[in-house]
Amino acid sequence: MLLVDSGKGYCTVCTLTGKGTIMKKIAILFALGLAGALSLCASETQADLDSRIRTLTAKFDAL
Amino acid sequence: MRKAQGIILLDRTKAGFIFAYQGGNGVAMVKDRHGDWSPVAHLSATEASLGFQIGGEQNFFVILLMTTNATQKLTDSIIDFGGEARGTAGDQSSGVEGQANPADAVLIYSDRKGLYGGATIKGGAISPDDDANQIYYGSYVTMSDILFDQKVKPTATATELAKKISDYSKQ
Repeated sequence: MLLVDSGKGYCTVCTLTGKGTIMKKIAILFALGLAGALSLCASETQADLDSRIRTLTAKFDAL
Repeated sequence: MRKAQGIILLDRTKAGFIFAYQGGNGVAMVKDRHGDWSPVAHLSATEASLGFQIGGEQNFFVILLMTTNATQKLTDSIIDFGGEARGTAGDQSSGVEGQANPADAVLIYSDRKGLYGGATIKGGAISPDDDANQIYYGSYVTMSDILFDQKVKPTATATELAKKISDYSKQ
């Protein structure tokens, strides 16, 4: 995947991260992955969970 | 719907660019021998993946568990209906319940495509959300405690959902 030519003379990673050192590219990719991982760890409250059930109820009602 | 022994409502989202987030959450309920719905148990359907992916989609699923064997799988650490899930992929006709085979243990409906192919819910994609259940009920409870052993009482929100499901079951 990393070697696919984007058509702009850069590989897909360079197209995403811009020009820079390999360390900069790794840092940007790491940050993207970390953001995704943190979103999986967000804690919820009882009110959030009630809200989740209400959303599911509304979707069930609309199906 | 009337014959369902259990139900899962599941919201799934897939979004990302290179690093993709594929996740979701939902709730499960089972019917007791008196025909009353249990309190809700929270489920998660979350996974992260790496690969060249771009874009996103959101789907809402209603999974009907038609047998007690199927409802028992809700107590597994990884809920996998495998070959028991049946449906007609991409069937968008109305009256989708009429399309179901009475012998099917698990029926899957989507907000996009009516009765949906079982392959849509991949094995291992759904698991109990123990953290959410602990927060919701104020102490650690298992799926079995919630769904089968009546160790918690339904919340007002869950009672509202149960009423909706019961109303649809009567239609």
